[in-house]
Amino acid sequence: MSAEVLSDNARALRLARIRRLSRLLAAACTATSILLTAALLVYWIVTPTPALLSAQAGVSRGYTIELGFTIRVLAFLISMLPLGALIYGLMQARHCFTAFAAGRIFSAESAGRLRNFAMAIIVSALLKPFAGAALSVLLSWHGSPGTKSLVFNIGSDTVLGLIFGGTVALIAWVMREAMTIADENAQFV
Amino acid sequence: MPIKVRLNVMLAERNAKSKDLAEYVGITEANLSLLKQGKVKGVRFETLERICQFLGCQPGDLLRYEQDGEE
Repeated sequence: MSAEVLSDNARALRLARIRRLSRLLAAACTATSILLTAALLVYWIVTPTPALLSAQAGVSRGYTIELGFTIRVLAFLISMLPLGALIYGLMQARHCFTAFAAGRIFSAESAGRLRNFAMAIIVSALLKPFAGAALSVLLSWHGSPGTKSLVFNIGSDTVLGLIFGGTVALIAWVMREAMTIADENAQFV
Repeated sequence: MPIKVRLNVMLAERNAKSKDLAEYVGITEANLSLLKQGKVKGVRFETLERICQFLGCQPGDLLRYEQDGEE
């Protein structure tokens, strides 16, 4: 068997593996999006008021009332802002994996989706501290005097999210440049 | 572009068909047509070698440099 045939077979095997993994990851993106939304909803509905105030507003005592349904729904909607951006990113990643699974590995569509995924990660990381601040105000609003709080928290997860998003955005950019080179090579006979 | 491809002339001189050349070289007729019109970014040495083998000529016979305005 010639080296060319062996190389073609190895490539076909690699592509089959990429397709399998892409299908798996596309399903994982969908499942994660649904699970995250459901978990957030359950968190805001069932978590007791003291635990919510302590975790989200840094208030451990001085609360006088239970958080009502309206406040909980509002808190859920605020929490959904960064999560919504993340889910949008996961959906973009899912489209990207679906294209890989269909054999469209090196396409403008995939590079564009990857860039959108990266931007969504960055937006989600940037929205998180602001959503956290809005939540702290909302949850501590009805507390006794001296317990109202505004918590603005920028942690390592925000920085890591920005670095990760920036890295993927750069990879997507490089992919687009590589596609230009591939297009030029395709014009060689 | 000042580089002109003389593939059509070479084929006509040898009374050879584009289809046969494309088949021998291992490229599509569409790509051969683009090459004949000079509408490609470049030619691989492998392609050049096969064309020269088929036509029995030198690479220099296939290309010609014409300055702008020169016929």
